[in-house]
Amino acid sequence: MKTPKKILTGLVVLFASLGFAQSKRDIAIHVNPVFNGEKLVLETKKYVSPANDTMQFERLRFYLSSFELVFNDGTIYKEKNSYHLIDAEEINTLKINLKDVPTGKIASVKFNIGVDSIKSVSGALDGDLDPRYGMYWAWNSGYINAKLEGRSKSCKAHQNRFEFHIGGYSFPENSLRKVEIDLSKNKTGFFEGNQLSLSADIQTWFNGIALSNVTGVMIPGKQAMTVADNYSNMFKASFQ
Amino acid sequence: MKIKSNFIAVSCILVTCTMLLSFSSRKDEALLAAPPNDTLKLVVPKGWPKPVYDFTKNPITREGFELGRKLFYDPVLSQDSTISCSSCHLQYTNFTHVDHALSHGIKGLKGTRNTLSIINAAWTKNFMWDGGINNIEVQPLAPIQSPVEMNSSLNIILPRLNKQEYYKKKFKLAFGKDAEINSQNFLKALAQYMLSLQSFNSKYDQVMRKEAGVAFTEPEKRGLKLFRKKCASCHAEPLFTNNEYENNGLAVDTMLKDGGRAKITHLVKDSLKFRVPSLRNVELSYQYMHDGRYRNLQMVLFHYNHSISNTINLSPKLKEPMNFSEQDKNDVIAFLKTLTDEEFLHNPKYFYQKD
Ligand code: HEC
Ligand code: HEC
Repeated sequence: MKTPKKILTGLVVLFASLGFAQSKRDIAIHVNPVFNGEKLVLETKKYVSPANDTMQFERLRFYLSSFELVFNDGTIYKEKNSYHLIDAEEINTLKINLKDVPTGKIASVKFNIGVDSIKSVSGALDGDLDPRYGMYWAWNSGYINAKLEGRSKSCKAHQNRFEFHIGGYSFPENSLRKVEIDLSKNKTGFFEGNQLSLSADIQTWFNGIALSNVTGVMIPGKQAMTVADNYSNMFKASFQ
Repeated sequence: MKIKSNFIAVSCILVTCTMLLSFSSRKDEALLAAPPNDTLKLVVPKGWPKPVYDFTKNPITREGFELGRKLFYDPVLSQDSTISCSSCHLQYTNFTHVDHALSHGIKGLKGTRNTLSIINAAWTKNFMWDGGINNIEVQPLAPIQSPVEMNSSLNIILPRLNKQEYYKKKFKLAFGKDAEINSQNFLKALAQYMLSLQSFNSKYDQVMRKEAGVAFTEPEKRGLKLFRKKCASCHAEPLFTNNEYENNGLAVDTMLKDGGRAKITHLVKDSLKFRVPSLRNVELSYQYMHDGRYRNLQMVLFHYNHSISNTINLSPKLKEPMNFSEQDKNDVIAFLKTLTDEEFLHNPKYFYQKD
């Protein structure tokens, strides 16, 4: 009784791999933090914000989740268990591998910045959602969707520090942001490769924000919503 | 329909019988009686609502419970290894910090709120006085990370546990042979222990179950009547809380300036509202209220009778004066004392165990 079953599963696996092997691939998404187009360097390099604040950055982390690829024919690839913590200090977090993507022409990529409300109420999670990464609020449960910290002489806070911890998962303070990036605006009109670069421009965070007035955001609320709106525009795609 | 309701009735009777049996035999509890690795079920007493906690992702097992108990009593969780969860949550006093208005943590530092008890937590939707914590699994992160409580973090604790052969073994026993000592398993084990802290065998419960030889005294009977009229709209039976947020008329403490629920929701309509606490074992959980301002139940009754402050969002239920006489107040207190569950408070399965 045992052997035929084994053979059967063997055959199924064989056919499955024959049938789909050529039509699947992995796509690597490279997340590149930049400031006004220049590669972001933490600690040492100084940058000037739109409000003319000179600043240095010490920490940049954010969640990207629920990746989807929309094909020209309207079909959609959804990454399973799609939660990625991006940390500018950890190079290996800057690359996301989308596995087993069908071949075909891709028109756009969709994802969220942050962690959705379902995961925010699901208790103790693991992987990138492990609460030990400093991206979880203990006193008011929920993930910090994005975090940016640094120093600026314009900041009147202790040690001239600014800290933006952007979170909040429930209405009307839900700071999750949906992003869709068009990949058709190029000479071929689609993306078909396996390397996609997304630059994340930190300058966008500071639209309308002067560090002399706002030295940080540490709770869900209006200010968090504003910063989240700002950084929802931070991504630009490039590929060969 | 008929069959179904019969079935429910029968299973209710069965549940009650097993409950009664396990309590009358007194020596071994349902939880620990099960063989290793068996899934242990929470007891849902007759007439109680469905628990809120989703046990499918974290069923209580004997090993998980024992590991959680060990962690709950282990000061290694705090930065300088002096404070454990049980430093503030003592079993004999209903898992609260008795005699302390505001809790004390590491190096004697004072917190800003009175300790809450941990009982029947499987029925609690949101935790803390302001309901800021949405799942019991992530609850421990608050005291662990608080600079005035344990001043620690998962990144401090997990490597410490990983150095101990004892914990390596216990985590594998609880979560499978490949299980690691990681945040998720650590938090799930603590949750299993806390979820099993069930109290439903007070005199009140026994009278409600019509157990032989147990009856309310006259004052207790009168107290129950008054309680149902004036208190139960918030402290609703059988949990003795409706799990809502209310302003029960406490004068604002201008030093602490605690906005309560509004701290979480940022809504004016939630300002000065706090979670309605359960009154089970309330006799032992003094000091009372979120800032521990009242030392005894007499003071609490005095508050409801004479000193309701008409602050923003005062519950409409408290706008009419109670008009309790001295006897009424004593009767209500007599009733509240029937909510003391000695068996729970002294149940050895919740104790610290050496092994
Ligand atoms: C320094 C004292 C202290 C320590 C140590 C402490 N707690 Fe608490 N606990 C409190 C206080 C105070 C509250 C209420 C806080 C609030 O509402 O803001 C509380 C609330 C809770 C609650 C919420 C109960 C409810 O119904 O909302 C749980 C559960 C809990 N603690 C579990 C733990 C665990 C697990 C640990 C160990 C990891 C722990 N506590 C360590 C003081 C402490
Ligand atoms: C409008 C809802 C409401 C009503 C009615 C009400 N309570 Fe309360 N009760 C609360 C809330 C809310 C708290 C917590 C308040 C705080 O700490 O800010 C509380 C706290 C308490 C506490 C303190 C428990 C602890 O562990 O600290 C006791 C005891 C108590 N109530 C008894 C009573 C009695 C007895 C009555 C009837 C005379 C009553 N309550 C009526 C809402 C209510």
